[in-house]
Amino acid sequence: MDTASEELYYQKIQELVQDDDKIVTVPSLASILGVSLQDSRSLISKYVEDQRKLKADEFAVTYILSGTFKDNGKRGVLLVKEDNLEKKRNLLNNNHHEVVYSIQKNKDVDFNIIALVDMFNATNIKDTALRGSVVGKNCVKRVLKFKKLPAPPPPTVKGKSSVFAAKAETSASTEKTTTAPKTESKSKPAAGIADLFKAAASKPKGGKNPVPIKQNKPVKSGSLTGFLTNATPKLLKAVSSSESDREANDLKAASSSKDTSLKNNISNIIDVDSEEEFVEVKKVVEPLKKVEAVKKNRKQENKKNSSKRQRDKSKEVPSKKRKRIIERRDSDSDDLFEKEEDTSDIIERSDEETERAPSPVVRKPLPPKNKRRKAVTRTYEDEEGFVVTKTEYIYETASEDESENVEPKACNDKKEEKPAPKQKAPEKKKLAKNQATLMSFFKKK
Amino acid sequence: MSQETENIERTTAEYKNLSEKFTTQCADYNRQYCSIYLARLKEMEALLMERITKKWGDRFPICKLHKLAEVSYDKCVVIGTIFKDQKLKPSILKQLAEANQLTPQPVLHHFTDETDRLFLEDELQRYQLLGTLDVKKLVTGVTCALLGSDMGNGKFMVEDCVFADCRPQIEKPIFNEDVFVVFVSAMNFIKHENFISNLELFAYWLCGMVGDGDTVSRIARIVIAGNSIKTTTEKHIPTISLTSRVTESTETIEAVKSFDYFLLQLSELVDVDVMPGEHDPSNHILPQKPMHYCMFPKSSVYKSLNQVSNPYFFSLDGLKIFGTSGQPVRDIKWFSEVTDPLDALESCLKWNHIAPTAPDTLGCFPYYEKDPFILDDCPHVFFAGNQEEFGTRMVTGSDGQKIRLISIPEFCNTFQAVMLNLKDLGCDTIDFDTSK
Repeated sequence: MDTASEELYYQKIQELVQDDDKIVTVPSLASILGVSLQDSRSLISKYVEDQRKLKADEFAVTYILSGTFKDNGKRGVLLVKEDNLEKKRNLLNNNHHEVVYSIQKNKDVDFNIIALVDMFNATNIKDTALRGSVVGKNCVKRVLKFKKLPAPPPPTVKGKSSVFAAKAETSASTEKTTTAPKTESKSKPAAGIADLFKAAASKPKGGKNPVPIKQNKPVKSGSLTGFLTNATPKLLKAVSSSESDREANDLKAASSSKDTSLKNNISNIIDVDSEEEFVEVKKVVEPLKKVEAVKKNRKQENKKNSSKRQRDKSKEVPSKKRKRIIERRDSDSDDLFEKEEDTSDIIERSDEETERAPSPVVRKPLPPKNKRRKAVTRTYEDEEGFVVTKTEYIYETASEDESENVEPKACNDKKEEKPAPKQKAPEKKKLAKNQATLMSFFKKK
Repeated sequence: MSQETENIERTTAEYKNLSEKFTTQCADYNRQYCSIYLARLKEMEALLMERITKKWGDRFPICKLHKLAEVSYDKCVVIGTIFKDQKLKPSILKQLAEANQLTPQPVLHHFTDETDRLFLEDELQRYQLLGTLDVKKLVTGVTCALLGSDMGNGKFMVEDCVFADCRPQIEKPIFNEDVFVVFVSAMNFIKHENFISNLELFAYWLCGMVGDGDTVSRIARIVIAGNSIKTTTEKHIPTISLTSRVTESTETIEAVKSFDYFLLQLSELVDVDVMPGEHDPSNHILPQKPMHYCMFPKSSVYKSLNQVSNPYFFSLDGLKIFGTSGQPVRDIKWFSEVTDPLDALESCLKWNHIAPTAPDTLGCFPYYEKDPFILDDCPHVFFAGNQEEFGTRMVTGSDGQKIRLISIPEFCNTFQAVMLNLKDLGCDTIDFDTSK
């Protein structure tokens, strides 16, 4: 170490001890100056010697003694004050070592505070040990490998209806923050439903203007728009065409001309405010009989609370050509959806459960007088060639006693379905293949 | 001015961790504890057969306990596990009964009594032992072979006994130079502000800057034998809360943090093995798993830091060192009249089992197939941490095995570490004194 550097270090020590009133230990000085421990110890020793010649009691020094005790021959390392140095020296054998450890301006020496200086020094993590230390070969840092984790899957919004799910999927596809899909999912379905009611409020004439939301929304299973957009392209075109009115009339005529067989097959009522939606629903009803894929999207029909939404027929305007689809919530399950998988039903039914609050109330239609629903078991061959036995409900002239039995049963079944939406398919009723339901709007595609 | 700027190289020794059987166990707690006794008896039976042949030859027949009443041997040898029936042994039933009593029961730390009785049990039968066996020196779980005769009424008069004794030991390797291993335990960092100067002095001494760099440079390894965070359990404050979970206090968390910084200082200089203790953040029952490295983010960066199990078995250049954080020795002292931890260590070697009271009074994992606490081979050094004072002794096995027994004192009380010289198995303490 050259003289110039030495002079600088002395000045630094002077500054730390006299000006800053700090405790300077050998390790801390080595760390501050960037020198080895031996050099640091030498600097402090020489500084103490020089200062002692000039000013005797300007500062306090602590020493470390290491050796073997005279009485028992055991090893010992002692941290002593300058005052007790002689006394401690006498405890050790003559071949002991004595080194300076710390220097401070304050005469009141506290070993714990001195130790804290090195303890705080330890918190400043260095790459290696202080220079001049005795270091083992294995005292090196590990080579850390950082594993790149795959991107997390898009969050699934639980507890929301298929309408919300439709929005969540679109937002999740962008793989942005999780909050974004939620907010988007919340806003978009709300917008969708708002548009639904907006369209109803505006009540456009003749249903000329289809609800734009249906065209613009992506295809989502169970969503209102999804129900419509999942239809065949032909249907979509038909929906958007200017001939919607004529087709609606045709559908209405066809539906009205149909006898009770159609009504018997209908098990869901969707009370929709906008006539355009009704129009489009009607259009879809017939083709849905043929298209099996569309059937699978109406998984949520049975679980919708059709009783909440019930339109009084007397108030209907014949020109609007509305069609009611009665939702059966008791054991009269929708036969149309009996084949559908239960797992998807579980998810969608649970979604529908929470979604019932915002949806309009669908009231159960009053059965005609002198006629009661009766469960009838029918066996038929479905499109795939399987023999299917399903329970259907038909209206028959019945006595009052029978009606009492049927209604409580229906009510009880409703209650059962509400807390247990995950009941299996056997409990469903076969729905007419061409019968659209309110719930079908909220099903996943 | 000194021109030395390079670090001084420390002596190294080839290290092998032999504690696999203590770290690998599946987390299956559905089995009963009787299985470990069966496994213990089965394994020890083979060892005892050799001892029986060596001591008594073929003079006496070896008989199963359940057949003693059927046969009419004058003298025979029976093999089984000792069960010590102690009136003062803690029992959950007693605790429940005491909860209803008005007078509080005294808190005991020694559970021996004049009325203690010994029984010998095997897979099927149990016999009360009378005779020359010293009840005060034995504990439950020791497997032995007894020579005596059946007195009827389920009693066996013992004339002589033999234990499994020390297993074969490999020859001690020869060291050309001094190689030291430093043992320290009970650093008790939760109270470290009271003796932080002693801890920093210890760390500074390891740098080699206190003058005896020649000795310090020969320190190859440091073993911290448990209770680094705290040495006592927190007192349970009775509350009306229905949950029994006790959340970790902030003091413990801060202590772990401080210990991490301290380990960083040590890891920069020397290889450090950290064993969990009874009161450390590790599983309570034996064998204790190594403390998780996530608790030591600063120091675990260094390769020199090893989190190891308790019990801990390792070798340095072929010299085998085995030890615990002190729970088995403490338990033997509680349930027998053995007071010196070195006597307990020596008894463990004689019984060939490091924790015979497990699982009766010392918690352990419900092993099924094998008892891992049985010593498979005899170590050269056998230590126990967290003892009140330092002690060391050289013992000799029946076949000439030489084992250094070490009782490691609590650093927080004594400010002592233990230095073991692998060359001659010399062992002594080193004091880090900062008293004014």
